[in-house]
Amino acid sequence: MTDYAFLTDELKRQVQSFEYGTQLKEAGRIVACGDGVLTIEGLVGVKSGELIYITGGKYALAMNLEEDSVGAILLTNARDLSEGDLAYCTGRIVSVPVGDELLGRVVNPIGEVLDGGKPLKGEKFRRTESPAPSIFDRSKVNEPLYTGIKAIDSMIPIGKGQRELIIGDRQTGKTAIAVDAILNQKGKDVICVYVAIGQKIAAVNSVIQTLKKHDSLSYTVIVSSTASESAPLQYLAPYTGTAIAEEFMLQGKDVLIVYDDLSKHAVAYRAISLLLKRPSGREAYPGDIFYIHSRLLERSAKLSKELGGGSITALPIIETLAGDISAYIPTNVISITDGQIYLESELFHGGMRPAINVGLSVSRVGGSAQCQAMKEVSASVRLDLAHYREMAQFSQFGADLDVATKQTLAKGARLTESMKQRQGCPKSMGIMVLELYVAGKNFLSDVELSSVNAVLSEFISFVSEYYPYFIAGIERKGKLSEEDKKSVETYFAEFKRKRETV
Amino acid sequence: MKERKIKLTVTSARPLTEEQKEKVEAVFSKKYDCLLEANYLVDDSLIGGLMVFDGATIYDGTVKSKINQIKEKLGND
Repeated sequence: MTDYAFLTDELKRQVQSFEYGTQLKEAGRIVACGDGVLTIEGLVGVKSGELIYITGGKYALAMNLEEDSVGAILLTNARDLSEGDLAYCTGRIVSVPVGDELLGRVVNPIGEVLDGGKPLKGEKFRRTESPAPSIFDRSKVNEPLYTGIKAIDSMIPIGKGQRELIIGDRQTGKTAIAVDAILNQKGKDVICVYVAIGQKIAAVNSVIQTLKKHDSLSYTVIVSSTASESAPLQYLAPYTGTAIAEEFMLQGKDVLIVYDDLSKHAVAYRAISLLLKRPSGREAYPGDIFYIHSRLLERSAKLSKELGGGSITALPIIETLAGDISAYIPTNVISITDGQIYLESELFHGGMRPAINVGLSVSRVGGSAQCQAMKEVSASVRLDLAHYREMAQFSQFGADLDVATKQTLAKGARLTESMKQRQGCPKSMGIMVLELYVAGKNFLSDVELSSVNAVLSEFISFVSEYYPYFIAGIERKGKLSEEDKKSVETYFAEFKRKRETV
Repeated sequence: MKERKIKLTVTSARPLTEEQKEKVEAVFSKKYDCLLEANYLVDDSLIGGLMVFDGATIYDGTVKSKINQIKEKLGND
């Protein structure tokens, strides 16, 4: 009883001693709204990029600060917004919830959940815009990030902290490469973030189902702003994904982030800029179209040991039209990233999948992000394939070829064939090293071209069955010693004999 | 001296008398030293008091906001 009396007394005391005055709030009035863009009069002290609160629980982002009005973009879907509504400054820059509770969830760019599960607790927030790590905060990129795709990990290797662009026409397998890279991070202690910008809802759902099927959703965060979302949300999506990734990076973890795709991001930003009446430039894109991508991609880095050694590896995706990589947005992003994986529809339709054009693809980090075993087996592969492509043009003329040329052609054809890989089947490093060694040393010269991949996978099963620790040994050591090489040759000879007797 | 016009929106819980309206306008025209165009609205959800919006700042002296302030303070302790 005394407790209640004490409480009521305490409350009474607090209420009576409360000093209230007239509250002063910075406010503005909406004078025009439409297409997700608001013009607000007043809001004198608003800062650029500040979050604006509109009565009714709606939020907008202040983008244009003019002498007597503010241009803001709506972040929440608001059908019942009207002219005359009051808008308030919040004093905050846009932030999103981050942390472990995001893993396995599908969220929209302002942190609302889309997978029908529990709303996020929001224990920790991080600004969507934050400066990239400085020069002294970074360390060299020297750890490999395996995509599990042979053609990439051997000839266009990606390191942790690198930005590697995936560029190609529509329907050439860009998203497939990115998703395979995510699938391959299972059990490797790498957190993945998949940012869908302007995609079809069905396409995003398909990605989620693939990740679920392979049990990869538990280490992935999906940030989705599909084509039916407003342009401001599509514009914000990659920055939200990067903020989420940065939180993990600062904890010392490795993160892989996929931006699918930045072409649609540029289009969304163009829509916003035109609605805000900003001057348009080439192809109607605004003047800072380079800056929106450069400041995004510079946040992917490898941090120094003092800061925990975490990293963000970025795989931005750009869609080209008719293979034109010299268009405005593609050239912008190519100059920002540390290399590109170039996919061609000709190769795709010719049966080469993944349709990677090895000649035009490059990784500017290259060998320093490869382990010694992989470096050795892939050293000659690129050259061999280049020679093969040159000579393949000769063979079309049906001329009489000498033995050496015929051998080069046979080896090159089998090497090319071995680079084909099924979607959704990323391979481990040890398996790739073994397959490349066998194909590179021309052990497959007497195998039918169409059965090259079948023979290779049979060989891998053979080694896994009879010499189970060999592949794991290569992966652990990262090296292929002379002994190991001799062992491979012996195993292959044995495998061949077995096959022939069958 | 520039004669700008400022649009005032005064919202009260009950309609204001002419005397009260003059008092409000006097305070604000002294503050801004220019012409005022006052627009009076009535909203009884404010319970009591006055809220003035001059285009850039809201001066909120309503009983509703005072209750909200107490609510927030008690909620924090």
